[in-house]
Amino acid sequence: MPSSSPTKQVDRARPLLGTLVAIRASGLPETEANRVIDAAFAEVADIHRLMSFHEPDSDLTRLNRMALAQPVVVDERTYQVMGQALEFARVSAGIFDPTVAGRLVAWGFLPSAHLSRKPNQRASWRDIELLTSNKIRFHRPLWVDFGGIAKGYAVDRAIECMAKLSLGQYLVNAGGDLRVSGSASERVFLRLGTPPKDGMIPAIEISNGSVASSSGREHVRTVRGKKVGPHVHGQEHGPVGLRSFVSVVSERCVIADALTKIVLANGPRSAAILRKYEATAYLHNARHGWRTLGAGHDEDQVSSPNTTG
Amino acid sequence: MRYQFMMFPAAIVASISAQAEDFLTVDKAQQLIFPGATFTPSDLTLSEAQVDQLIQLTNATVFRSRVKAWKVSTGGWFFLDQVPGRDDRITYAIGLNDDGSVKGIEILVCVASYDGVRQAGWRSQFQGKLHADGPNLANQIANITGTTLSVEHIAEGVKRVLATHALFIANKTG
Repeated sequence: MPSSSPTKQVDRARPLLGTLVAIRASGLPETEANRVIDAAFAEVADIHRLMSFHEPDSDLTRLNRMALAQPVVVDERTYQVMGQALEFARVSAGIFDPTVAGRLVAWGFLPSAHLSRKPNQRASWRDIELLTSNKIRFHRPLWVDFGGIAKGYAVDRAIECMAKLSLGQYLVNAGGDLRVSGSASERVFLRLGTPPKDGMIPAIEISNGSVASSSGREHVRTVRGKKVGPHVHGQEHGPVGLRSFVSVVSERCVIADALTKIVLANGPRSAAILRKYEATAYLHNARHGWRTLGAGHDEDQVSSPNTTG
Repeated sequence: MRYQFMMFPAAIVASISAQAEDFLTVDKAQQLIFPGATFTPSDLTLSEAQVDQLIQLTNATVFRSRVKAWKVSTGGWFFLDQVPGRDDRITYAIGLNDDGSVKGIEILVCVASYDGVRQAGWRSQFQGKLHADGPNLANQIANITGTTLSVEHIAEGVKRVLATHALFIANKTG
């Protein structure tokens, strides 16, 4: 029998969720590792199919087209992500808002295909109602996009799917939003969008947890004379994070992913929300350098990170 | 969960991210997409007219006229393709069923590197220091987090391979 003894690790990658999703399984025979990774990719592909803003048949597109007229039944996973998105909207008083897709379409970050009725300017997350039996209904014309959390959710589901199937150690990395299971620590370099000036590069070492990052720096474009980016302030509807970068560490990747958007928009004022989710943020901008916020930090302290080596 | 924020000298990071991330060999990708099958090399060389036809149909960039392809014993085709990635080329495999639908896609090689670190000029200032770092950093695949890597080039490549199959393989073999 080929490859029956545990191998060091198997690494695979596929283009999904609009990015490269890399999955690693360690401590399993190669055939077993590949079986487990196949199942994880299938789960991520499902989430991609269900929650894509681009696909005409996704749950998300069906919601955006029909949930105003009548309750729409969605997959349990879509329902869960919507519940999670609404929770973040509530705790951040709407700074995180999954209904900002109209803005992203107007700025050219999302396509407008498949959608006819324009969103109401005053529509917000408050106009989304979760009904029983995986049914969702909208109360104003609006467009939902899960760009803020679907990747993190997919990473969590992939890790959980593999952990259920076999007893290995796993890493799932969806274009930089990643989760590692097991006690071995993983090193993640933070790409700030500008080349390092002082010859030092930041990194986070993590075991049994998640890291997600967001920044608007690399995708700034000008629309009607105004600089915009891929992240939108849910209350003010303006762009956020055009000059800052944030990485959030949390146990679950969906939490880390969503919290990056809140920290980009709200800076040090996000400390309480971070603590609520036992998450820590490393926020960087040119003016303040690095700041550490949230769990394990009383104030928004200006950190002087340890230098190894 | 345990975690720690750290700063690393860029020279060390340069030495790590200088390595390409090898996911799979061609053999392994073939067996993952078409388990148990055998593969007959069946490369195509597209004429200039065919390249034009391909560009016209897909709007995709055609990087080379030679197409790496294998006919699969159990039915279908296996293609090897390269597209530009963020820092370097991405090599990927795509398996097609007989009807031209996608059976599977696997990434073979992708270079993920830290911003600018792979650029020769920027790296040259660290030449000679590259091997001075601790051995604990050797053989480490670089995880990099930041603005999401876009894979639109892969999507474009897949479109080009699908069209190549439809125009110059499926058409020919009936």
